[in-house]
Amino acid sequence: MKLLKPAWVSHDDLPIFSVDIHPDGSRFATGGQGEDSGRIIIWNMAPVVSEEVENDENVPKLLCQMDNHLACVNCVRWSFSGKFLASGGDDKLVMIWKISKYPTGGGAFGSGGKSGHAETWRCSSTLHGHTGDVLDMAWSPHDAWLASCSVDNTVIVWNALKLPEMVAVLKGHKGLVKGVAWDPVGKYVASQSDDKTLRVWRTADWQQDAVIQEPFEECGGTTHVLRLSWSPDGQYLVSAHAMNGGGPTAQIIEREGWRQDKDFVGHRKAVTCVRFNSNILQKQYRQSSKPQQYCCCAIGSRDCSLSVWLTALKRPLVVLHQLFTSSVLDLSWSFTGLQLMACSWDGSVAFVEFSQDELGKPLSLEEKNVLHERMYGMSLASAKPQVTVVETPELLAEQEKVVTDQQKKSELSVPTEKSTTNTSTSHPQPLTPHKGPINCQIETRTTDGKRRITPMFIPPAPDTGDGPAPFGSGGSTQTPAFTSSSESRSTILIKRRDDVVDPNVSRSSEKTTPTKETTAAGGSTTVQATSPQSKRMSTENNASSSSVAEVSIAGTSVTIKAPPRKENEKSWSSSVPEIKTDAQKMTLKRKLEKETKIGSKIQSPKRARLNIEDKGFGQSSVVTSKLQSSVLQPVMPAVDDQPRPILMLPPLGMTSNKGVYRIAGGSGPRTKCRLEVENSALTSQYGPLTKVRVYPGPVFSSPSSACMPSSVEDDLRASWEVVLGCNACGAAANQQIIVVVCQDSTLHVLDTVTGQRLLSPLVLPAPASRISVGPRLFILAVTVAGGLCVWDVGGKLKCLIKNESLLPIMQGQLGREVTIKSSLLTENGCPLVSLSTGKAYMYSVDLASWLLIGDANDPVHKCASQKNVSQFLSVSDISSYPLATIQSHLKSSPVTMSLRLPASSQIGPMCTVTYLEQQLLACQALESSKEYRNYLIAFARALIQEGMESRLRLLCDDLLGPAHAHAKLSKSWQDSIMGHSKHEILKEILRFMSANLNLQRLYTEYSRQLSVIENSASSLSNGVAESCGEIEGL
Amino acid sequence: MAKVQVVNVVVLDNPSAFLNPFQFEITFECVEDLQEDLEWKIIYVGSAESEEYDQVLDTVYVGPVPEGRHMFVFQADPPDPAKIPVADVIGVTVVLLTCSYRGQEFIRVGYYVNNDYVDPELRENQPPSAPPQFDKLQRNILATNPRVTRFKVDWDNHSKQEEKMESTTDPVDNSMDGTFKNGLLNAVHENSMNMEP
Repeated sequence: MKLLKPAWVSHDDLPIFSVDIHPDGSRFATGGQGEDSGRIIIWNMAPVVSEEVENDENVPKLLCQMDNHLACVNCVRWSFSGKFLASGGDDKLVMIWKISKYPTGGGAFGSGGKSGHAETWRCSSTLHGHTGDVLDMAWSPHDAWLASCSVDNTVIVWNALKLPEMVAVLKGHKGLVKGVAWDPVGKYVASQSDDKTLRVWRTADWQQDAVIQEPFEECGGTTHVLRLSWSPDGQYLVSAHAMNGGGPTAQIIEREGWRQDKDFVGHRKAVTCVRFNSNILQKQYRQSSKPQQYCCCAIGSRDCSLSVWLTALKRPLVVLHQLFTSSVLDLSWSFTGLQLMACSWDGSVAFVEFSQDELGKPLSLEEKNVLHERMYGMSLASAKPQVTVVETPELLAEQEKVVTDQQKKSELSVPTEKSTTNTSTSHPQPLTPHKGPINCQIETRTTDGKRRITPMFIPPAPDTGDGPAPFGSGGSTQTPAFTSSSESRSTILIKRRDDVVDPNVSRSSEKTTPTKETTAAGGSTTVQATSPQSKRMSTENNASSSSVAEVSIAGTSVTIKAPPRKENEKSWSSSVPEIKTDAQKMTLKRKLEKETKIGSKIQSPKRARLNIEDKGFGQSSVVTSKLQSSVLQPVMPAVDDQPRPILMLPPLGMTSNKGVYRIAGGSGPRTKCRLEVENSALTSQYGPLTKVRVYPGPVFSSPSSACMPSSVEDDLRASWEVVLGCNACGAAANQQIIVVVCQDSTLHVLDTVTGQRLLSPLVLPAPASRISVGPRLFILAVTVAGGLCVWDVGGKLKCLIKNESLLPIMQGQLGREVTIKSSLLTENGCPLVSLSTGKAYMYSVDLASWLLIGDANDPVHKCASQKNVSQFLSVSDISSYPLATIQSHLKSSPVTMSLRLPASSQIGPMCTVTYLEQQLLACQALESSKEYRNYLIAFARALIQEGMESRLRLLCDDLLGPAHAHAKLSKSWQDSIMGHSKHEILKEILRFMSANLNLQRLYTEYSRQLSVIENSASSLSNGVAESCGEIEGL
Repeated sequence: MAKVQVVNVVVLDNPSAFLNPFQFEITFECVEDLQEDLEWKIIYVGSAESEEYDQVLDTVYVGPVPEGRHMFVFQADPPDPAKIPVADVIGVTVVLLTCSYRGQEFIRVGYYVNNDYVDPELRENQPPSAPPQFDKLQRNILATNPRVTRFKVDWDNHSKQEEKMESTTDPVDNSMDGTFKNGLLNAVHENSMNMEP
């Protein structure tokens, strides 16, 4: 064991209230009092550990000092990921810090702190919520929550993924709450207070699980803090200051029944802080053959001493008497578990280093997870979804970036030469876009005579992920610190311009300021048109003459970003020939940009449609012919006069001459049939013939492709064989029928079993793009023209849907092609179409319109995280049902795969409810009975969990029906829904409802009514009584 | 949480003749794209006794301000000597650099300024009542010791109610505005700082 007190770790001899070692072991943070403020200091750990480094003057000891807290900092805590530092202080605030992306500078400007800090940490969130001093904090093991406790008698649990959102305020303590600790498994959070209680709260519903009073009855409020701790195996909670037989102890509280029969005795004064080593340790003892597992715990006390205990030993491993001259205030173990730091009211910090021989060998993280799983059925590893969730702040930031970038592009309002040229030439440069001038500031005048300065943008250093690299791992060289100093000249160039703009401030009377603003900004850009940059841009366009190049830049921006209105178009198409001199060109361009920008402002919501319409203009054909630069090509695949969106409906075709199709499903002898279509299989004197054969044998195809060249042995005998006079381009089959589409747009229907023709070839309105057969005898065809037809060829031949246009649903984002991912039919012959836009539609004949039954990109769906939804779904394997089938196609689209938002505490449940309701209605539309029941129960469970009583009541009222014995005879109310007995469903819902105690009245109300109805009904009629027999058990 | 943090201010051309323009090179960091311009002001405190003699030397709009770190030079004309009480010209006063968003001031950087003659003879012999010779005066800004006051403002145009809530939880509010300046000046006189160039 090594003991050290680094003298240089100090807050100018003021008390140090908190210490915490960074998970990577390279830094530690201290919190305490500063000069008339709270102070946090992040220190370099290396000089503490090694004397050599300590004496090296080039190695900084203090990395960053933050004096932003208005009053004393009582607690500093690193998140488990190491990305964030949380601090809480007497100013009632909790602040979250992260390392700055910018090159290191001083502390906060004007803080008067020590200059030349090696790192910059900046406050990323300030959490207001406590009404009194914050005394202790703890990050939950998966970093998703941060608990803080305060003298306002509360504990606040913050949503660390979505700060400054609160998850819960735990109220119950009647005195200052001085310590808070999470259960390592994440099921509980414990707090200790001056009210002589220790309370355990459940994280499932944030209610109090237990109050422990007995050991604290004789305690006085003599300590500044009561930092309790939970053992890493989750078995024991160790309190701070407790009393036993008149002596101060640290009470051990067992997880099982919160028993309190053991304690750590020996300190002469109150225990202020307890901190478990985060590792579960293991050691081979001589007397036993198996290695023993135990935990290690450090205890600090007001008696100025520190003790370290192993739970395997009855006596402390070590006691350090008189380590400080005043009370110990905080303790921290390193992640490796061999280093321990303690801080004290006397303003000093102690560092203890153990060897592995002394403490034992730590279990690996996996072993620890296995242990947790064995003991609690859950572990950090099994809570993976949540662990991955932790990374989402990055993801969110990333998303936000994308969104804002998109917004910027669409608005064309970035008034900087760099980005304007980007957008106008449609050569996006997505990597770290410069958001402003980078070598100068631009000054213009505003209408009220003041100057307006566009500041110089300082690009950030390349982002190396959000987390700080371990200090001293290289790259962290010291840069000159920022100080407010005097210099004779600035390096910034000032570019003055004569443009007059409106000030962009809300006091300005005009509402239209932003539009005008961007116009002016655009104007200022065009002044730069002759600068080298824009010249370079124009040459990149490979235009033959420079005047055309200029126009094509402007023109491109017009076509892609903002379709102009008619009058705009007139003005610029007519002025094209006039471009002669530079000066004219510039004014023209400027004018153009102004107009198009105004146009884009007004029209942007309708962009997609307008683009199509614009192509219809006679005039524009002149323009487009002038603008045949390569840039335009991908955006407009077909420049014709027909207004139409970009449909991607390729005609059907077979990759080779032969196509093999699996005939799925079915039972008995007809299982595993195989359909083979071979073009030009036979040649007759009049032309080639196509052979259609069905084999009873298994399909030799990989599961991934339904259609592949066959590798059939010829000895297999075909069940039947039919020839067609035209080459086939596609086929589909089920147990009953086979549909073959030929290149002449005819559709042939054959009986699967016999090969018999069921009807004369149908002629499709246009060549087929997709073909599928439904369950039973439904046929669905999609033509390349975007028409959808459904026929029923069973018994009475009839057309269910006649060439219904897909155009209304195949609207995607401008320039994005929309493809059909899948098209199927329900049991009733309703077509379902899922698109590459992540949306799924169903055509309702009754309503004569398309119904949206799934949207993978719907924020509601995304917010309703799958985990949340599936927790309510009793049957998870519903993949074979219609809704699930169609929606599974959606999930496979790349858009949905990439982003699965975590369910935040407030949005998540709300969206889950909405999402489930949507699903429920979709099931109803699809008439998918089993799924309907499944989602109905799930919907009810979601309502129950959220305690949405009124909605629940509506639902139950319908399920219950009229409350009289003749209910089943009622005409206005049906006793079943989608083939399920409503009462049965209600019974199931009531079972779930009983779990939520807040809804117990609702539960009693409905269960009583239900039993009354059922009883009276059973006495009324014997027939009904059968189904009600089970109710008695309720 | 303020969306704009002032990272640094460099006082340029200092010390300088009294009649030379003020120049500050300001670096600030913005956590997200701002909807509106920032409004920066340089205010010269003519007399510690009364705000009446405060002169707004210049006001500029700064924008657009996207997320990230930015830098600009703010130059403003010197104060109008005619508006400064004769007794307050020479000696220590304050120049303030303020920034507002949506009409709300969120930061105020105060610098002590010492005005005195370079010529030792003038310094010794010029009677305080005589009209100052402005062309011979030198202005020295104590650039190493800025006093920064930050104010809590509503960055997002929240509803009134929310605003109210925030101000009750936050100990800083704009009422400090007036007291700050006077307090600062008193401190200067008491400490009798050595501001010799």
